[in-house]
Amino acid sequence: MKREEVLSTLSELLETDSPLTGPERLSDLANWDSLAVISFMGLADARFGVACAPADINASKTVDDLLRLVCGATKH
Amino acid sequence: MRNPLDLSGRVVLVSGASSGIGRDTAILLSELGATLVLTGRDPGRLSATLSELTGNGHTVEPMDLLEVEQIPEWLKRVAAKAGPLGGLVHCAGVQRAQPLKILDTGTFEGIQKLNVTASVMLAKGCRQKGCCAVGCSIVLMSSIYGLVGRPAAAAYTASKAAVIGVTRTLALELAQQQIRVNCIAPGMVGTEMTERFFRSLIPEQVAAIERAHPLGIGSPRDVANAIAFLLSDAARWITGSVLVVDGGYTAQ
Repeated sequence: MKREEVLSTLSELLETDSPLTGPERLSDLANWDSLAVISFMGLADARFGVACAPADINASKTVDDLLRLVCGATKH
Repeated sequence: MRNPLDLSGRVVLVSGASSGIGRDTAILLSELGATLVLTGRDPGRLSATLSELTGNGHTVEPMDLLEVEQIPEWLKRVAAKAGPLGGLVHCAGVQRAQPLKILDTGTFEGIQKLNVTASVMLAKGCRQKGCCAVGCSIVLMSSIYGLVGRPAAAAYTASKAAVIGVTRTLALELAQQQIRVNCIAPGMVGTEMTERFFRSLIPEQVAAIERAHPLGIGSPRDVANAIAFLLSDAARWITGSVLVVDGGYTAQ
């Protein structure tokens, strides 16, 4: 399922100690910085064929917000 | 008084002539009297540049420069048709923001191929018997990022630093044939490629890049003028040099 794949990609990118689930606030994630934003854009494009706008990523507050950018309207 | 940048009678090949610095360079060189050979992947876009040139006799020679092995033979055919080259400018290039964490070898090597390997193969093609005229000048494209680093640009900076090394070596190697080899290290210039690159950055990063250029972001003509100088006889004693054209970026 795409949502799981994106979550796994993000966990891998941010090297989180435990798998991400969605509600996490990005500001609480240690490795979420400007380079992570560029990396996320690159991975979204390469793995899921989605071109995310930097402004939309910047406006995202939670992991779920990022998932919505890649998956469209995500369902919990 | 004779214009020291006059390029009358010179056949000059420009790669990446479909857009940005390559297109503007071709336009300027034609105004200075050169006969242009425009190359790039897209014949339609090259023809569009062709229609903007001053003077007659210019041609389009489409070529995918990623086919690096074929460049010398291709250049031989081009020179047979257009005449020995009095100048060669390799403006085609590629860059992509890719932090180390997601850097893949395919992207890394692809960037080296167009930015570095194609530069070397074009020079190899140019030096062949009958391919270059007396006083031929080769201009390669480095970058300020061949001189200083930038996060998320390991592949690009590697390629542009390599162009500087290649420039110096080829300058020595080809001096006996009276072929000069120099490179330009431009700062950020407003082109289609730059716009695409800026779209991959967050606004703060774009603003930081703009602030780092004391004279502001450059225009393609700022770089084209420097290329015209290096091609011309005004630069006849200059080889192996890196001409920084960056609005003061690296002065800091």
